[in-house]
Amino acid sequence: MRTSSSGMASNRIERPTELTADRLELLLRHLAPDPGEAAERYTRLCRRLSAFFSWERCSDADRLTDEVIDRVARRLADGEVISNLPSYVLGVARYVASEARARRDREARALTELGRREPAERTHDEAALACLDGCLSRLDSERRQQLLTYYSSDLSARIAERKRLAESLDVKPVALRNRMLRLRQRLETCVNRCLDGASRDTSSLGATQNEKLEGDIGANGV
Amino acid sequence: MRPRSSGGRSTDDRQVTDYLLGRLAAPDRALLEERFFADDDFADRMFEREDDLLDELAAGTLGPADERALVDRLLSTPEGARRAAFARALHQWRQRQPVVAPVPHTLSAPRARGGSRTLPQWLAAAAMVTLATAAGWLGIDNARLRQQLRVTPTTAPPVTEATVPRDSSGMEPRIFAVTLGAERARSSSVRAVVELDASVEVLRLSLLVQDAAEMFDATVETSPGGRLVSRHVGLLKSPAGTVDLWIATNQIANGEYEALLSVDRGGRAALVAQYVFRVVGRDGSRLP
Repeated sequence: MRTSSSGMASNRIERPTELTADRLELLLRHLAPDPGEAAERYTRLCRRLSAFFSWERCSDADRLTDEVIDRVARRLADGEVISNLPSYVLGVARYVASEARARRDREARALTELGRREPAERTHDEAALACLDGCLSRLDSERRQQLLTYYSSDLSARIAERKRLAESLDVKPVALRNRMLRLRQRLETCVNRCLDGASRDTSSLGATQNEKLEGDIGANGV
Repeated sequence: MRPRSSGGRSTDDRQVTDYLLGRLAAPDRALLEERFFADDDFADRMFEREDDLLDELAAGTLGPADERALVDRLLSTPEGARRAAFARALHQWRQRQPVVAPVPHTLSAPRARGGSRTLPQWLAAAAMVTLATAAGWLGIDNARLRQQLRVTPTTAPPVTEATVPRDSSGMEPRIFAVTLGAERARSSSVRAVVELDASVEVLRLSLLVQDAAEMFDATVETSPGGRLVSRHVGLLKSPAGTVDLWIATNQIANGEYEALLSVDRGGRAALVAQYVFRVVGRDGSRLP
């Protein structure tokens, strides 16, 4: 039911979802009366949840996000009155995170071992760089330049650079931040899908293959 | 209005940083999380700070303690590791870009600058010298390695296989994936033809290997000429028995190329396989 919300390519374990269309609609109505605004709030909520689980060091943040959404939607369908939805969602998320904690610790140990394999990391970096090169080339030059200015390599100068950029574009810093966050998120999604497509390829040698990656970086995308 | 400390830095920002590094005390952490879920603007600031921390990690400008904390907090999940990889790629990409004079940030001005990969003259000259030196060294090195290959020829089948890109309406970069078998000798008549159209931006070479080694180094160079195109180190063999290289297509033009795969044997590089392929423009739009 939910499309990727975290800015990362969806790489989660598929499982049957309990989120029916009726429940989702109920949740959306609870988020906002206007369908467009509700969709926007839903996307933001999912991204927050995904980030929260990541900060809690839970693997498979997207799946856990689904879990929270499922549970909250079910409560609403059961007729529970929720006056403060963000706070309620956070409470459920904390509970789900605690459930996942034991598994998280186990996986963290495995990942630490994996992280020591530096050559593999270098290989991954080369692939990521090639993918990034391709993704950036899909951006028009103005937005690419804005993004690179906003995330300038001179980290100490970023605050001043961002302020100047907002002034030159005649937008408020908050609006510029929102725009750049979304652009970076799309760029990350683009790179991750590029990498995902590549890893799928290696498992099916012998067949002719080509990757058609769904578009997240578009000329008018943000 | 954000509360500000005497040092001019936002108290919120400091708290956000502490939270992301896992240093915020439990009561403050709970309050901050409540605000993160309730306040859109605050949530965006947290996302932005997270990006900045990852970029600082990629640039190597975080202090050791912060670096440890960030790795522990954010990089212990696959998602976090991928985000860090993205930040490293972004940093490396920036490092690769030529230094240009700043231009005003306007909606139209960056046209003259954006998308241009042309090097300033002095930088291009310096790069050519560096490249020529590297290519010369590698030429000698590869000649030695080729001699080894003749002594211990690979048994990999001289099979080549190229893919043809299908039409894509997507806006993401197009990857052209090619699987190559090794050749026994340079004179082999079997040449993989990699037919690229102008829309392909990333070429992935999957090199079939039969050598028992798990880790390889690879060099891609023009043939003849031996001009270095790219060098890849520490490549791991995939479960499918291939070693995969990634090359941005703006690094290659029409022509013949060789990919040389070597392994470390007791401190010495030993060439284990050689792959020859030809790049041609599908629609004549690529560089001649």
